[in-house]
Amino acid sequence: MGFKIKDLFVSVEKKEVLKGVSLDIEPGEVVALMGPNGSGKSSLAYALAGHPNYVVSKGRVELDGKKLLNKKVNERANMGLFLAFQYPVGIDGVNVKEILITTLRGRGEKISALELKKKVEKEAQKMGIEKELLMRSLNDGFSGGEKKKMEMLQMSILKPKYAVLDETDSGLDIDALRVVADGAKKAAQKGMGVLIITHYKRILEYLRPDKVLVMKKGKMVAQGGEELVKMLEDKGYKKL
Amino acid sequence: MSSFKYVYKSGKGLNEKLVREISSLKKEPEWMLEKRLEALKIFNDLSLPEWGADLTGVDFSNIHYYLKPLQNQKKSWKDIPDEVRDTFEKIGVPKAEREVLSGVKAQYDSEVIYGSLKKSLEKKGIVFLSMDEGLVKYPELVKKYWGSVVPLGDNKLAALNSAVWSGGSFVYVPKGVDVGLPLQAYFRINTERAGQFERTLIIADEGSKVHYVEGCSAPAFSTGSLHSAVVEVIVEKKAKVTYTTVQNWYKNVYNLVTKRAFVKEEGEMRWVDGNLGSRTTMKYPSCILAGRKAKGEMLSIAWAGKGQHQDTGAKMIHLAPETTSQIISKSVSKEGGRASYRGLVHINKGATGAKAKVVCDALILDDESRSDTYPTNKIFENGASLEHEATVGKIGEEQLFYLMSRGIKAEEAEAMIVNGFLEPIMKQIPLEYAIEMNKLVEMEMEGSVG
Amino acid sequence: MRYKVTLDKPGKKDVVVPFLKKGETAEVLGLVLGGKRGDYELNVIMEHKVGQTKGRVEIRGFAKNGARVKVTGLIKIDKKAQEVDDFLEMRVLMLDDKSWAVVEPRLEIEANQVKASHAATVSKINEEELFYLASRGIDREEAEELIVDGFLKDITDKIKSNV
Repeated sequence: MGFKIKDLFVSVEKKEVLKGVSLDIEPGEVVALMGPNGSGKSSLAYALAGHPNYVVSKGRVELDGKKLLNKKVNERANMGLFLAFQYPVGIDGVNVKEILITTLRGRGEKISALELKKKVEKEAQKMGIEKELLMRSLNDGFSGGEKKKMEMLQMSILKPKYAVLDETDSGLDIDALRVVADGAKKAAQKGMGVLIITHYKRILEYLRPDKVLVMKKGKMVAQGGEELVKMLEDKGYKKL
Repeated sequence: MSSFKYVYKSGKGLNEKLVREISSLKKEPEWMLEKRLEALKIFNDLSLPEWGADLTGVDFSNIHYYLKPLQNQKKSWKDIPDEVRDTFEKIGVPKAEREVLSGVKAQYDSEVIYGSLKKSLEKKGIVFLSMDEGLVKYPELVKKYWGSVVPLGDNKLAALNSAVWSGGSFVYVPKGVDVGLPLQAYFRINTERAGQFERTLIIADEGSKVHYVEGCSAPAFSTGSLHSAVVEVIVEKKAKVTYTTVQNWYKNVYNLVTKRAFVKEEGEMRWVDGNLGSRTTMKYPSCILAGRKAKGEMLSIAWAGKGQHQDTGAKMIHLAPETTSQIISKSVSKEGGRASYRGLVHINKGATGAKAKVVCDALILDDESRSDTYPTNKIFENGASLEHEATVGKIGEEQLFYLMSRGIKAEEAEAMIVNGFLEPIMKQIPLEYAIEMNKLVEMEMEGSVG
Repeated sequence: MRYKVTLDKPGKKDVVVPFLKKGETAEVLGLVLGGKRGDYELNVIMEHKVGQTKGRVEIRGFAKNGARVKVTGLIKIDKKAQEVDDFLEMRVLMLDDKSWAVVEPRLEIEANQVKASHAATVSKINEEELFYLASRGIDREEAEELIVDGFLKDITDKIKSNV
């Protein structure tokens, strides 16, 4: 069991952005990945999800014993991986319910549109998402905070085994921040592994990590517990 | 279709004798026969347009111009081509409907439904008949408006239609009446279903409101290969008309249609067009915005698959001040299909404060297919404004990636994106059609992953 | 490659940009200064015969004193020309009731891995802008000149610069 990444080398547009990254996430564990701009944190997220622009030249990734890198994007998702995007794309004419019902049915879950609607509305209410947003084209004109909440809404319905939360935007309002943190915390308590990628310690105050990893220029440079967060706060990334 | 039996079947080709026979069989008033004959002369004089789709395959001498099928003819279900049957199956058309739509079963059921519908409409003074009946029962009304919006000599195909028309609808809505439910051509259809030269005339009197729906998204198999209809709509002061067509003719059909509305002061006309089938379509619904504050809208979807050329668009002619128009056209081409948008916005001198907006977007799904945009915008009035934008491209990779990262298969994700692309217009189409159309899109997308 | 074309008296000008080498980029900047009576016609054709090319067309103009301005732009992308990115924009200001404008932005696209879009607008001067300038003591004629210059500025600047 576990989400195991070993010696991952990844390039984007012929430029190497990850130079031998390794990390492990156990079920129910909250791992924070921090690092300065350009360290490759978001690249790791996209490479794990299988984005076509990110080319893996070396390395192994296993999700609960199954190889990940040779699978297509949607296959990885169906294996239990969820990526909450930093800047989720907008899709004309497609709303969140349609996406969820297609995914669930594709997995073989028998759920009626009405049942899903009720589930979605309930979750939305808990997260403080306005009902009206559920009907609109996904992310069309949504604020940063609303987009984030929609990602978390999807996560709560899809119940992945491992979630990678790309949280490098410091501009998130407190409300959205708590939705992300609470959602991740609750899911972790139920056994979901979480990799939270962030610059700033703010979100880590609400979602306390079990392990903290630090990246710089495509490599892992430090590993520790929460005390590492405080150290980075006080001294910055230069020392590493 | 050898098991068809016709009460009357004209010989091939078009001549004066035939036109006279048609008119006499229908027992038409003299003036209508005169118009038919005049139209025939004009038809012979005019030539086919060369600026649009390729019409060289149309052989006018090889068409039966008038067919009146036997009331109780029985076609067999197994005569229907496999793909047509498969499509019915996949899009979930109920069995009874399938038989009716494919002409296998006579429209007994629809006659019954139509009968009771007719009664409730009559109470409000609404007239909804076939054009043939309308001509006979309301000759003065028809004479006043017939050919006033699309004159006999408008173009070769309109002249042809004017000479040999048969079938189509006649709708009259009295002043201030809101019809309420959509008038479906399907109900009005008698045995002359899938008529080749339908003529429709809709008159919405002052302040009235009507939504007319025709066609169907299930594949319509037809023995005739040329469909040339004419639709005229008169929108009186402050009236509101919506005309929705969903067309999925079989792949051997040339669908060449002239549709035009004359809109008076503060009237509103909206054309909603779903072009899915046919081999070649040329259709440019138009609005003549003749009165102050008249509004015209044209929303269209064109789907061009293998061997198809959808040459569609709209024409908005602004003749009066403060008129507004909006054209939204969305097309998808794949497997070598070609979708062309051809539009005209003409703002005449004197149409102060007129506003026109055109949005045409196209998706090309593979490197075999093609998309063209040929808009013409003529502004002769400086106190008017026009905005036009168009984009052509393929399915966005980021969007595809996003949906796949949720666990959705590539083909399904593509279908969702295409349906989403078409959504603003699908929204305007009555629900049953929209659902069927969405399913058709999904079917078309299967096996098309690049 | 940058093509600059200015039409400042009645007449016709054609600009055809053939993209023959992969990776080529071209920009067309056009001005139609329809200040006197007559027919002004500008036609621009961007022909992408090979892929990975990038184009951009920006045309601005105005029509007054009986000028009749016609602008047609065609972006044509051949079947083999994949990964093309092209954008065409034409904007015309109509300044009086003696003039007219015809704009025809066209597309003929046979490749699918492309990004092609166009936009066209025809409008008159915004009354709010005229009012604002008037409230600063500027008379209508001068205000119009200022506004038209501002409208054309982007293009005139680029045309003047020798980048």
